[in-house]
Amino acid sequence: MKLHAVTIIFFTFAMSSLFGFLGLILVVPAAAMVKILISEFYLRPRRIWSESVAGQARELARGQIKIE
Amino acid sequence: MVQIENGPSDDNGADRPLSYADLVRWFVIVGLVALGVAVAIAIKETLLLFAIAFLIAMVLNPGVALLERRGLKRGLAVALLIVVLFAILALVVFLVVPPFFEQIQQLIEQIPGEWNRLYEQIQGWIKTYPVLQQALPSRAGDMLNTVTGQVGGIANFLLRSTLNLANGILIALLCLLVVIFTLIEPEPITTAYLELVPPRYREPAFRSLARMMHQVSAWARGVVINGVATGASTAFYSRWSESNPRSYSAFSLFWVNSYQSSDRSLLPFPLSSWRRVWVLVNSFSRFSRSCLCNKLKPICSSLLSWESR
Repeated sequence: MKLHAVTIIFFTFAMSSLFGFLGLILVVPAAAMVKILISEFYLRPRRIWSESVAGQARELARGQIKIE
Repeated sequence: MVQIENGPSDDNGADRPLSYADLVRWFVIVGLVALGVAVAIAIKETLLLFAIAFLIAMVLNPGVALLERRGLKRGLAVALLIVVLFAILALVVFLVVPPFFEQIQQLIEQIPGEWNRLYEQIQGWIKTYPVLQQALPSRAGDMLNTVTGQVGGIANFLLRSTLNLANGILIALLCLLVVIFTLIEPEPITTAYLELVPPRYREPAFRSLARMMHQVSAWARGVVINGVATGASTAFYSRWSESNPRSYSAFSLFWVNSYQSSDRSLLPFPLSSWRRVWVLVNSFSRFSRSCLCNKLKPICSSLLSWESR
């Protein structure tokens, strides 16, 4: 499982806001748990796979979209 | 016997009665939405910070994509862009900050003269409106004592301002970190966004994000072009009209500069008349609202009681 650096920073802020110092200790496990829960309860039942949208994401990142 | 025909029932089960499982499902959905709203409210500062970071990343992404198309690796392109931005920022600071501190120093030197001028102004008001005589202290020294009595509050304010400034710098650095990480590897974030959108809305979501990125880039280009054109033309005109080398900081000291005489003004000629009108109106409204109405009354009552003793 890969966790993006921005995800870790977001969870650091969010967990420290919600639970203080204890939340800071649990940042990485919480981020991993949320990712697993979303994957298992939302993406997998709907048969949504990353590969299906990765191409679109790549186009957006490379600025290759032409706006009509 | 009349039979009432039902319409064609749809396949989603919209006509069937609400079952216990449906009720539980709706309670869970409502509970999750309420939980999500509560969490969003609790971390609203974090959400705002990330929204700003993503906005900046959207602005900078075309530049990174351009460098990437020219053959640079993405990480190197991001580093180059950040270095260029910091160089521009350092240049602006180098041009604006020294005149700023110079003018602060001049302002501090001018305070005694300005204080006397203000006291004479108040004396003029007293002649026009004699009722003010009861509300104001009789000597300039009394008023100065009253003002110096507020020094503790001012020190507290300065301390809080300094702490807020340090906090702001820290948050800005973290925001920069988020921008850098987003620019280096934007695809997982964009993929997650597109994955979370229900499939039937994915195409509109994709197009919306593409259009938002396009609009934000166009807005940033407009701001940069406008800022450069306005700053350069103002500085050029100021140097040409007043031969003042400090005209680079034309927009930095709108308020402080108002205390200076026109021959040392940083603002160019076309703005100076508007500036004086603005300073006059703003000074009068600030003084009358905050000083005469709210602050002066309790201060003067305490002074009058002190004088009666």
